[in-house]
Amino acid sequence: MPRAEHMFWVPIAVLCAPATVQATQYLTVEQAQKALFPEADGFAATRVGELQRAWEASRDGVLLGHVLVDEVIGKQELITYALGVGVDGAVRNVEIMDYRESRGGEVRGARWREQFKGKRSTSPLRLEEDIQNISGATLSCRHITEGVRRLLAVHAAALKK
Amino acid sequence: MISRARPLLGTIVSIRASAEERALARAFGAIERVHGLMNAHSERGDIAQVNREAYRRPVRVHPWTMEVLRCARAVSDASRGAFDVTLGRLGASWEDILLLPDRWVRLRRPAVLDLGGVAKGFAVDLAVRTLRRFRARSGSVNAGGDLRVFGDAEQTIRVRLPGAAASAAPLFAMREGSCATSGSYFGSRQVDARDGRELCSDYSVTVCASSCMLADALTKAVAALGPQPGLLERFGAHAYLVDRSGTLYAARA
Repeated sequence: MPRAEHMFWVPIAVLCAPATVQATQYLTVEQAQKALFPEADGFAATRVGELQRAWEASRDGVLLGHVLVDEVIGKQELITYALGVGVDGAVRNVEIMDYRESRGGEVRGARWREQFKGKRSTSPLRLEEDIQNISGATLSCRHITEGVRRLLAVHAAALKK
Repeated sequence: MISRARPLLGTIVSIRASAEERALARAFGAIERVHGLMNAHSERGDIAQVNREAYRRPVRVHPWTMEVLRCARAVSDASRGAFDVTLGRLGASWEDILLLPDRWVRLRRPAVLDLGGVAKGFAVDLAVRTLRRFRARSGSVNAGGDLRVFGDAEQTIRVRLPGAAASAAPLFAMREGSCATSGSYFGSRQVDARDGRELCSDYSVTVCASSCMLADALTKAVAALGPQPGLLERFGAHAYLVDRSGTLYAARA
């Protein structure tokens, strides 16, 4: 097929997206505990310094480490995450538990969807199964990194006592 | 369907898949490996080593790194350098990166490579590859603007509206595919085909391509140069632009 010489931006639809916020829950506290310390057989609520959402993970009565749950502000939304810290003070992992992200609504101008037919599989939009293609989450990530740093500092100071 | 998210690659990576927990853990593990290999700040990674030594002697890189460097080269070539992993620093350009047989890499002159514009897409591709190997039936991997979906169920792709970060609009639905979105770039003119009027600088460009790595690199080139057959038709890719008012444009010949 001969290649076209020029291409243009041709308007095909108007997207309409009233801002609504929906929470995506990835993990409950219990699931996060298991994800961070799969080998543990018990999680006991505790306090680590000023942190009240903290649990001791143990196996056969031996302490494996701590699960700390914290919230940070993302770009606009709150992000709840869990940090697993081993007894050696090393980070096991960070799991995002809750990410309240905003979602759009419906599309105005139904004609736009016709444009995609034959080019790739298309169908009526299914909002319950959808996923986000979010650009600009970088700030959220930085805030989590800062949050983790803060939790580790509190954790280290509390356990030194 | 399990959903998990972790802060990785400087963004929040979320994975959704109808698979075992183990499959998602392995997929995250693959993304971490890519980060270690290709982040210029991971001292023992490939790219840090290339930046440090490849000017003086050839550096042997991981097959994944070579795959990403080859893709970057193809897009640099097609965009005549609008996409360039050297970012023009130290006066170097993509043409100074020599990709030799057996995964050896050499630099013709000192350069600082940054695979940020393409490695994230590759990490997404690799995560999907891993999920499939662990028999995931369907799912999606999203790394802050780089997205790939696979499987038997159609999934809706959404883009954030420029200037309204709190809202995202559905773009289209697909079963298999990858796309990447870039925010607006200053200094690049995009023109409305209807009247030749220049679009405002507040827009995002989304490219859909056969791999997320390719989409990732192409979206930068298209954001900088506008839609071009040499960029899109050549790679079998499609590009869309959304402006601040929410008007969706498609790149058409």
